[in-house]
Amino acid sequence: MKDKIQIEREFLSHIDESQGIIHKVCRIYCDNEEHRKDLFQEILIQSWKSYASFRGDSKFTTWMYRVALNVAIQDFRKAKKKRQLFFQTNDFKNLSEDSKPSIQDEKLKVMHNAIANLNKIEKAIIMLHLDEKSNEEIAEIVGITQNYVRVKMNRIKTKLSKTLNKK
Amino acid sequence: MELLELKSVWNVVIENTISEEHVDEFVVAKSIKKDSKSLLNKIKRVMYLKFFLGGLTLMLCTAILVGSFIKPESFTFYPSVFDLKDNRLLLVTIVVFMTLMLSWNFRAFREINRFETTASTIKESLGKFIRIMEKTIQLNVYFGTVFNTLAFGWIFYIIINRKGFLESNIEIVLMTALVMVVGAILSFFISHFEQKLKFGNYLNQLKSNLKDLDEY
Repeated sequence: MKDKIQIEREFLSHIDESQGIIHKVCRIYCDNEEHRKDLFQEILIQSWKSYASFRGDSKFTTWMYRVALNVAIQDFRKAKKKRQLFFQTNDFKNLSEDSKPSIQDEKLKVMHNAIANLNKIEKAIIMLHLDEKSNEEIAEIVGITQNYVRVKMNRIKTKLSKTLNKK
Repeated sequence: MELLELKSVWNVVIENTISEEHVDEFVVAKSIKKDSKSLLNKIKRVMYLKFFLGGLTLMLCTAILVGSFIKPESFTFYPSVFDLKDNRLLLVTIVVFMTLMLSWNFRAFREINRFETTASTIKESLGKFIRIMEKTIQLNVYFGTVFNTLAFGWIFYIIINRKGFLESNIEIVLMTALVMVVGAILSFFISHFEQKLKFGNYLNQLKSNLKDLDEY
């Protein structure tokens, strides 16, 4: 039997390795910095609460995606009157010194608009797709068949290309 | 912009976020001990308050009720309005209401706890979450309505008894019943409207998300 400290240590090490998943989920679902921080915190709390349900039947990352996406989808936050931009921080500008900030900003805006047009479920599926998850894994996380993942992906691609091609 | 380009922009943003915002184990360890701000946790906090106040009221009323049988002269209140029978009836009403309210809330509380400690697929979790929310809303509406109806009935009864407006018992019963029915209808609609205003759009959005996952 593992004691509580051991379990916590194990959990923290898992989180350290898979923290990127939480950042990705927060990035795709939040429209401002404050919301992103709150959601990050909430996902951490929720994953710790439900850590006992992780029995190692599936990969830790699959389990982590489930928890993080469930928290994000069920997040209750009243829409603010003044909508802030999806990627508010200037971090993208600092990525490469060679890149022209204006072009990168433009691309960022296009991406923001494209993703903002998707509903919460579509955001989850496209995020997993962008993260190069197989249809089998996406189906396991979302709880639908692989066939339906393909159908959903085609619909999302059509929806996205409409927004992307407008620009 | 093509989908491939979107993917590369996404990858760059994420790489940058992870490298700049990586949180160390110490901060994570502190964070997981903080209180959750989730909707379910807010509902649970209200439930804790209900357990405390409801439990206290239940214990107090049960003690007075038992006392009214053992030593009636020491356990009468509002003697100008209530006789011993009225006292007992009021106490029984409160005890029954509180017992029901506490047991239903406890069941809902256990269900929320079970839900919070499992990590199901998005579809399953969304379905369960919607069911829990609907049950909690129903619980609030129904118990709010019953509470207000009983309160209206007893307040009205106290007023007409004290002022001596009505003489015959049948008149008192009829008028009290009428006030209670009107109170129940008003309370139900106000409570229903309030819950709809609070959670209506949110729940509809979740239901539409769940429908989106339906294959057939």
